[in-house]
Amino acid sequence: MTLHQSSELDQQLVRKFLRTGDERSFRELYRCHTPSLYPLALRLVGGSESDAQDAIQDAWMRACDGLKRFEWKSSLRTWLTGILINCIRESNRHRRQRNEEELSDHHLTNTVGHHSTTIDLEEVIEGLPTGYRHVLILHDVEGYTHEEIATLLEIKAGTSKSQLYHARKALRQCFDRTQHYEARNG
Amino acid sequence: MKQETDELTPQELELFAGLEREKMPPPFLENRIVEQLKGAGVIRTRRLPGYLKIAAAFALLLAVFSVGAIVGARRSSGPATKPTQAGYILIVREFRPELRAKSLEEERLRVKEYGTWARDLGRRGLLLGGEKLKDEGRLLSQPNQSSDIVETSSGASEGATAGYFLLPAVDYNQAVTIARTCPHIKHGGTVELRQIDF
Repeated sequence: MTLHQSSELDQQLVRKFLRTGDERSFRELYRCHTPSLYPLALRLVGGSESDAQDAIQDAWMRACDGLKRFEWKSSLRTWLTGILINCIRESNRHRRQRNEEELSDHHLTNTVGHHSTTIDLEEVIEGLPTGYRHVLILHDVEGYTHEEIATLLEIKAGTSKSQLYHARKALRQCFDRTQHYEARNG
Repeated sequence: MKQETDELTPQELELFAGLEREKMPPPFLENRIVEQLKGAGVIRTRRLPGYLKIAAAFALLLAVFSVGAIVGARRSSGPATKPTQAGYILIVREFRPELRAKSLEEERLRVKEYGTWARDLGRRGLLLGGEKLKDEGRLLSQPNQSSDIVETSSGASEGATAGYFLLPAVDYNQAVTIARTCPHIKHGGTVELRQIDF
């Protein structure tokens, strides 16, 4: 499906939901976009299924509240992603479970695991500090540009570049540890 | 600048390309969101047609029968003393109209608050389960033996059962201590504690 076709389908689904307000049209909209939002939510929250589900729920509640005002200046997917990110960031602020500023080498070491022989990229990403993880996921997994990430995360594009650099550096440290273990243990 | 030239290697690109891009969350999440949207008035609720009413009544009878069978099985296996078994049920009663959430945002925050409370209890081993109930329900009764069973709608009127939580408390004191932390009370609502009669 082309971007144009995808956008047309989104507009049809949204128009139908706004016109009817019925359950079926919401479910269509939900099933169209949630499969791509859910893995993103899981990665952004660091792998917790319940936190990701709460974030998806919050995001849809807000999205439905704001659909009438959505002006289609971006794709629906990007708009929903922005809402999802806001929900997760607010939730993070409330809980303050992680130290968002410092890179925890101890945590990264544990994430790779002393006995792992293959690289589990998902686990390594989960172990990154929140700021690094968000930029890395949006850039390297979701394919957003630094300018788009700057808008989504309300940071400067330069900050996004810097965070990505440090995130990749942390990733490579994990890769090196795994390869070192493989080389030592055959 | 170093950051500008720090590109992913082909091996790293291959690793990223192998990540899962699409995954559907469990179906209960979709239903939970739909219910919340209905509660907030964003999704319109429709009345059940007649034939579905009959199906719903039949499903309810089946559920009642199943609960009876489970209770029977528990009774035959002796008294419930295991901490993994619910000793008490905390019944959440429907708010008075003036105490209900005034906006979608308030509704969202309340649901989140209840969820956080329940998850925290769960992590501490103080909650075995619980659910929010849908607003619409059915009351079935038979006024006298010779008449037909009468079915009436029950809505989310004040005091109606809105949800429940299963607590593995060992006595009323512990159950009350847990119940006092329920956010429903803070918002002006009433909860009822009942010991399960095994």
